[in-house]
Amino acid sequence: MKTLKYNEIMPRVAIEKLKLIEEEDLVDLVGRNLEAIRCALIETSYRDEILKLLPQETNSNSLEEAILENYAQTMKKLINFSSGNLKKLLLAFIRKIETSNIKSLLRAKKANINLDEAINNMIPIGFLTKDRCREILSKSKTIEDVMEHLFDTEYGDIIQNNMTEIKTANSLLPLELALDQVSYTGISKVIEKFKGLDKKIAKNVIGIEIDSINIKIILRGKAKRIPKEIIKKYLLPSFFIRKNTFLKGLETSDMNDLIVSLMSNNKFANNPFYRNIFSQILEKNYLSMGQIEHELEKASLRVSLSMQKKYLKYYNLSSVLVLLNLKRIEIKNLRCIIVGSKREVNSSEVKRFLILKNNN
Amino acid sequence: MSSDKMEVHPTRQELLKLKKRKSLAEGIADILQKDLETLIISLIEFRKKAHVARDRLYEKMDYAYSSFFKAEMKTGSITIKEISLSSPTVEFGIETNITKGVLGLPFSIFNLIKEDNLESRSRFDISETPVQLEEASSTIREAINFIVKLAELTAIIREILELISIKRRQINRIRFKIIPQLDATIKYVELILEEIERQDAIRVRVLQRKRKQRSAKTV
Repeated sequence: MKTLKYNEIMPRVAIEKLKLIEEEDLVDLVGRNLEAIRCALIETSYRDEILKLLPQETNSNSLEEAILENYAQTMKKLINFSSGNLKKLLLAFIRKIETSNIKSLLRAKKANINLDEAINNMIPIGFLTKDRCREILSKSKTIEDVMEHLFDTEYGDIIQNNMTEIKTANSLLPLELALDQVSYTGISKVIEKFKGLDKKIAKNVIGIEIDSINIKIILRGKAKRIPKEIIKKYLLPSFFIRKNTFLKGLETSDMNDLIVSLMSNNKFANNPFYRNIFSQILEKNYLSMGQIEHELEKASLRVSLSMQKKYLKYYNLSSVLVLLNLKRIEIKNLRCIIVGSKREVNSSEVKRFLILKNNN
Repeated sequence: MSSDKMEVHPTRQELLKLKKRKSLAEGIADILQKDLETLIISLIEFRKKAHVARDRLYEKMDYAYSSFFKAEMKTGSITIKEISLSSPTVEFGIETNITKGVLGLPFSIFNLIKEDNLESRSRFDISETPVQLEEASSTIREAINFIVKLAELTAIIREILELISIKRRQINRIRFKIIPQLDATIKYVELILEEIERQDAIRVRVLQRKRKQRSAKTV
């Protein structure tokens, strides 16, 4: 992608970045009640979505719905201002959201969750609009009915292929895994279309996100003593670290051994971003899975920020990916604060769960 | 407490029988008292065990709930609700066995039957769910062990309490009804026998006096 192609989107990215909530302001929200959080959010880019809520009907679900709505709007704006491969990449991200919306629909039906509550949890973007979701859920009596409504979509084949397994195993897991595989494969394919620096940035930033998930899967699987054959099924299609390298990692005994084993791979060891992040994890010697997962979640943001800093001179993909990561993390942090307030979780505990870019 | 006497023939033989019954009743009351003490000791022991199990249960539940809230904070409350309610359910069963406990009392022993392959699979999509949800789920499974143990101990404690109340009623009945009744009856029989003895003595004295008067007349 030529740098000229970024002329249109870069101002939008800059505007959206300015709209992000400052970390100090975000931390200030911790420990406040839902009404105070609602009032504080009115002063931010979430204003439009928050104002749609009636003050007396403000609850954690409606606030979560408002921030997800805002996320969808930001994505839509970025797509409108993008072109070429960047647009394709953003659309691939949208397909990832679509697959999680499909998962949400199926789970909501299986769990018999209230229609409004289920709709609130959707990120209203892609082919699954809120109205469509409402229509599907209200017309369907069983999961099979929901699946039949989705046969005519691009996910129809995957859903049909997994229908028998869902019926026999009474679990949505096989379909969920298949949908994940499809969405991440789609992202990988788009990344391969990029050239030069953009390709390098995309591979590093999105690669570390997928690799972090794969590391998390291996660690969790090993902790739960899940057989290797089953863990293999969970692994996402990684395009930076080969699946074989991860499979070797299955032989290791703990997190440190796993990272050492991964770092023995040349491709991994030669990448300064990967080396930097994973050697920091090794140095900190985390004890709990929760801490390690929290650190792995930050990896993608840290790589995108480093890339942006390194290639600041030119317009490139890193700024867009930084914005996407920052927005995603802001949504996560707001969700954390809202749920923490609803559940009256201790402020220090909530702060521990926030993903902050300055808190390395 | 009524101490009405029993309907008995006031004979010496009956008195002996009554005294024998009284000493038997006192013996039984002593044995029952010893049983009662044993039951109370074992009740205290089981109560201690139940207390420990309850504490551990609260500890586990506390941890499970806090992990669940953390999972909600990470992924959103509705998503966690959806994932939790749509994941495959974990089937548990309870096997009940009877074993002889204190004083040969039949105690119910509850054994938790879990699925064999429970640990070898993940109920949730690992890539999407935070580890805290897994932790909450596995801690709740551990908590179920304590719930079953607590149920077993509660059943045992209830059995012991029932037996204690039976024993206490039996002891009370013996001490405050049967023994006083026997005492009253014994007293009554003794009184009657004394009365009979007194009348007999008077009759003998009257007869002796009449015999003396008759012999004096003839002389």
